[in-house]
Amino acid sequence: MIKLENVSFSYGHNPVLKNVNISETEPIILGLWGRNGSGKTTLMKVLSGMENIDSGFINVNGIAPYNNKETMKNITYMQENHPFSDLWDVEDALRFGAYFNEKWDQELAENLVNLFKLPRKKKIKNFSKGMQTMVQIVVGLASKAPVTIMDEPTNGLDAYMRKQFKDALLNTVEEDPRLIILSTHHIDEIEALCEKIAIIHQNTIVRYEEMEELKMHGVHLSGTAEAVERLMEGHTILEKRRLGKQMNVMLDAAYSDEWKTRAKEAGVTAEKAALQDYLVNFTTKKEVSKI
Amino acid sequence: MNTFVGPFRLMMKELGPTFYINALITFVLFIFFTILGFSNADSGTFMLFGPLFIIFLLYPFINFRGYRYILSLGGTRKQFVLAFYLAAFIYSVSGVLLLNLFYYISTHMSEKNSVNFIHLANFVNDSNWFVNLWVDFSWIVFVFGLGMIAKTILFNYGTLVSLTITTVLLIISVIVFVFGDISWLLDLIFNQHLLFVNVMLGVSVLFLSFSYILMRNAPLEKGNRLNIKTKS
Repeated sequence: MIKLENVSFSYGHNPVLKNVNISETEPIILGLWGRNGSGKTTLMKVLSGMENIDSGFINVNGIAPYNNKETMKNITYMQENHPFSDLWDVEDALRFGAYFNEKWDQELAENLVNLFKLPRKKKIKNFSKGMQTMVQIVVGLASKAPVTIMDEPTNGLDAYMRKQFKDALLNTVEEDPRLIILSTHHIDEIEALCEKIAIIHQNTIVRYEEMEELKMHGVHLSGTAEAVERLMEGHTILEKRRLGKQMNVMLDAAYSDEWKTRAKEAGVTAEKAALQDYLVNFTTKKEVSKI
Repeated sequence: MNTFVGPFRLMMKELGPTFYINALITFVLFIFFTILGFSNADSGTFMLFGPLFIIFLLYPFINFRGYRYILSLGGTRKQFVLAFYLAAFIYSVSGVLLLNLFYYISTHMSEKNSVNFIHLANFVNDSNWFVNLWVDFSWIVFVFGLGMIAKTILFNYGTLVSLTITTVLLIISVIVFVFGDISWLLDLIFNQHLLFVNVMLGVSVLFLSFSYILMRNAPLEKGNRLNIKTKS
């Protein structure tokens, strides 16, 4: 499905992607998480063929996507603020979705438009942020492209619509398995959907693993400084705060029953850190250790 | 489905509204001038081609947005340029036919109508309707080509480089105009207008070809070609 080997990309002399390696052969839902400026958007542009790589190897569903007319048959990329024409209403978006996507599913598109209660004849430029996101979801899912990339797919959606999106996504992927890449700053939004997650940090992919495995990471300890320090020996510290004699730390370790037992014995509270907090600290650990 | 259908239909839709608005303006002007022609025996000579010619000069500036739309739906840069050219060609033929329909109606309407429309083909001294169509078509392609090369350079190299090029060209033109002998050019324009129009069409093809070459690997954002060039 996708394979990138040592892919690098720069704007002038400013490197944006450095030696990116990732390979996925299964039609799964894949999360892409990274902080601002990590290279997430550029990676998606490279995958969708909007930008050309400087060096390395890229293959997306059997093709090199840049300037390749076969790209539209294989890849759909819905950007966070996708550029829909000022002239377009929802009907136009569906019509052009059908023109550009070989596997376009009009029935699914119609169902999603009804589900989201999108006004068909209103210009998309006059839609609210949430409604524009819904149009992106409709086009992205109905494209049925073998590789579908969606940037911040729940941006602007209320809780109910987020649930509708998640249900629709899972249903269509179950019906027609394909590789869906969901990019986000907020892992909570997509955590339940993704089978695997790629973490992009400092312009390269630093982790690519099963979501269930990643979710186990991050141990939060709080207690007296002396007791916490004893427990954290030999582990990578992601975050450390001290308040008088009390100390809170987050460790880069897998949370398990063993931690609970050890913490109880030491009189320390051990909790599983929230995944978002873990990822933020994981990608800022150097900064934290300097403090 | 052919992968070109999407980009082509998209550009047809993008160019459509401005074309129809200007066609309507041309029609309204035609009606207005014709009424003047019937009401006043000395109503004179009017220009009808302005709105349609101007819009083809501006098309590349107004409709370059199609580049983002096409790329964001998986189309290529080449598809954008070719779809833009084909859509512009179709609208230019439509514009030429519309203009000349008005000219035809005007010349065959009534002897009471004293209005005359300037037709650039009048310089050719040929009453053949095909020449009329050819001259209008060539002018429209020329103004479109001019707009396209200007917009392509602006998009690829940014405002500073584009303004520098414009200034240099302006200075060279002034020098040639002041110190050079341009009688041959005036002779070409006014006495050999068909040849002049054909030369213009040739220049337009060069402009459009150069734009295609620049755009087939164009940057995503305006002015970023210099960044692409500096890549090792």
